[in-house]
Amino acid sequence: MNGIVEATKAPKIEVHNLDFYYGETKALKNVSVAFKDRTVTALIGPSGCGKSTLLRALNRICDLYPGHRATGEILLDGENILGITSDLANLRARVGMVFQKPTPFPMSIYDNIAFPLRMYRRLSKSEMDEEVESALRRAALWDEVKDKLHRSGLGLSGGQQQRLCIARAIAIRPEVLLLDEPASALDPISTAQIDELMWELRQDYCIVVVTHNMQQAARVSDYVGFMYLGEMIEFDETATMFSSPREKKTQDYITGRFG
Amino acid sequence: MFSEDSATMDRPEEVATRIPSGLKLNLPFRWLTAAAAMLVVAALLAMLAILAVDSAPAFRRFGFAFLVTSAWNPVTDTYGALAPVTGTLVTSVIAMLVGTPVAVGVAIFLNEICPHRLRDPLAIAIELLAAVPSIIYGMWGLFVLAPLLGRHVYPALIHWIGPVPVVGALFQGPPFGIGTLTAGLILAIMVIPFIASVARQVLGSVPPMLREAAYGVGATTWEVARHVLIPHARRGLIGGVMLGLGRALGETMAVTFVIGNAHRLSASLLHPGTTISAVLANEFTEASGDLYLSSLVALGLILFAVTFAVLLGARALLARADRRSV
Amino acid sequence: MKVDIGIVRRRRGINRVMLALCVLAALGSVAVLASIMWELLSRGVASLTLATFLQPTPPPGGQGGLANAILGSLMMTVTAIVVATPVGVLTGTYLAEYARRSRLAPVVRFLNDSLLSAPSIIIGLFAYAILVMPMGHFSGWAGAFALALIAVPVIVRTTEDMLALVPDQLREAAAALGVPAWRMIVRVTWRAAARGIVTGALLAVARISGETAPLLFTALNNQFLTANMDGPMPSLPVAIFQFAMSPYKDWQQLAWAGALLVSVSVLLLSILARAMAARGDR
Repeated sequence: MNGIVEATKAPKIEVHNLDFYYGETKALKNVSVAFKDRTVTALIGPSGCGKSTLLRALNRICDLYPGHRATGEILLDGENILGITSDLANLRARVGMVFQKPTPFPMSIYDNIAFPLRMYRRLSKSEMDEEVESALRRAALWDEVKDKLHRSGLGLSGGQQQRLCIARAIAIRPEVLLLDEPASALDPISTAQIDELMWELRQDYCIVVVTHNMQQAARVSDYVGFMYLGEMIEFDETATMFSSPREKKTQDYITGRFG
Repeated sequence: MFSEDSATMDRPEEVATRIPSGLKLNLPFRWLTAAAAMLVVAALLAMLAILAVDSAPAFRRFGFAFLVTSAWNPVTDTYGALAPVTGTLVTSVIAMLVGTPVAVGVAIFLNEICPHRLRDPLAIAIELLAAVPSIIYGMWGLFVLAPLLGRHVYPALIHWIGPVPVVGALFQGPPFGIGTLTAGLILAIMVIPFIASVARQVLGSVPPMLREAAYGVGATTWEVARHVLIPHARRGLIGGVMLGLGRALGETMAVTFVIGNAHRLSASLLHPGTTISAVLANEFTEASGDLYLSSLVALGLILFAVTFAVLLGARALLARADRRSV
Repeated sequence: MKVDIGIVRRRRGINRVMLALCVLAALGSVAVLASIMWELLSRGVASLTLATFLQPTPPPGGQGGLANAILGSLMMTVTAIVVATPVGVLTGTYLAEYARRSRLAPVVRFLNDSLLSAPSIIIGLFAYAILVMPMGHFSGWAGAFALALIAVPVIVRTTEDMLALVPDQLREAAAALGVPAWRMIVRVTWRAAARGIVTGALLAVARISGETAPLLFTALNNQFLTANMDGPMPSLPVAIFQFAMSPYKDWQQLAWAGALLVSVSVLLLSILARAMAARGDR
């Protein structure tokens, strides 16, 4: 179901010669890659290959921990985000993130969406209602929660919680959406719903998804990057990658010979 | 009794031959540990029993009035617990109102703001505050804090808030520096390290991913703390506050130094007052007469009951917080 | 997305103010510790002389030191800890080794916690009622008993916690060799948890050596140098209380000297306990 990727789509994020260190350990080695706008790019590779690290560098969530350090360049619309010193909050509003496990905030379903919205926009009650509804609709969750908007987000099922987190991320209309194994804690039906959702959202966002699941990568992505031991081994269109990978390592991994 | 075979421990075959003699001691040893445990149980039960028995005369004589009257007169042998009970509650409430936000602030600072290199030394410094004996706080309060407040803070309070209706009644009188408010503030300082330590633990046990998600939507450090970390950890936080409250209620020496020890009810927080523990510390050894002693023990029983109830609440909340974070 | 700059600016402002308050809270707490240390050192060191250690507490208007209070504190603290340690360790052992699945364990644990959080002045009241009253006079024994009652729950707590950290494999390995349970506990688990248990005892010593309230109506006080535990006994904290509350400058100075001694020993004990616990972690 991969669409044909138009060559005209501009790169949204360009990563040049990125090295990443956890203290003394080098987790990314000279990674260069470009993520195009309005496409889904999947990052695959065995555990510890650096795919999550790369993702977490893109909105600098890694900055929360001491000793985590990136060198090189990450250009978001041409601006090097590694150079930002003061306003990481603004960067994170532009680059949304969804995590491995659902992370609903300890507040109502409604407030889970309204909380980040209130941080950026002055909205009347009715405008806020609309925004919340629209975000929940886009995340395909509205019908399931519309009668219990003011109940705690923690009462939802795992799949619903994850869609709530996606709704929360897109409510503030970021430009890039990062998903770190968003379906790893979910059942197959919820996983399928998330996959479908990603494919829908692709029309508006630059999406980067880390996944362990080859099926998911093959179904939802336009591009795939295969990483191994901190290096970007191969990066190509999804169809090419799964039918005729150039590298032996890539082939071994996607056919399940290791990982 | 176990030293004779210390050399044989490394050679199992020899241990094996000695088992029969060792086995005989299994039951006695078990009984020994159980007896120690029963001693602990007996101590607490005896404490309760003695407090109850010795306070009975006072309760029999004054009945419920003991709790709601404030006369405390050894000459006429009439005693009412209202003043010390009120004093204990008011100083503890002040301590919690002032201490809790500061302690949570300290915890947020240590967990979210502080440069990592400074984190451990500062945390240790604040935990050492918890180890300082209460009599030292008492002296510091009497010789340092009380003069400071009396000279620089209370005059301003009296001047600015004193004339305000209702609230103003709390800030009347000469600024001695000694009084209920000073006692409450000393207690606040004393409970801060306890609450801060629990707060650090429970705020730190918020799943990292949830914290990342909060920063991930662009929230500021304060917003993450206020809207995500604190609500998520609230049960544990309240448990910590209750532990601090238990300490504040029972604290004796620090309060005795700075509260002024006056058996009189006063609306103003700047007036001298007293607490249950301060009354006990000041009067118990000098009390003569059975009813006087019994009334003092009754005060002790009330204090014990209140701290016990607070402990129960703290435990229940902390246990539930533990289960949730698993 | 259209971002309302006003809102973002306001949020950043609030953030800055609140974080500044948090920094202030931490600085304030550290400043309190610094101020306490400063007062203790500046006032205490000046009043600390050889006489402080050699002479007994002064009579009204006279000169003197703290020798009798230091001796009394040492004797009562040592007696208390010598009694409390075996009781505490055995109780902790009962909870961790024997009563794990017993319905009695939560009861014992709860009552122990109640004892731990009981106001220390209530402990003094209790000691008064069961020792001072029947004996008819104040005594060092009663003081030591009250201190022991405060130390026991601390030791029970740490012992149980430390024994719980000993891996069950160690117990199984010992049992598999046919070692009797009591010997396994004494030889294997106690030894494995020794550092933690000593830490607990140290913390208990730190806790009781600064306690004042439970001594007020048990050991009371005594102006003379005495090693007689059967009579009223002086102690550093009670002496500090007496002298600090007095109106005389030289007595107050003596109180500061005593406060310095008590604080330094308590803080050193706490740091020592911490250091031991930290080394145990590694």
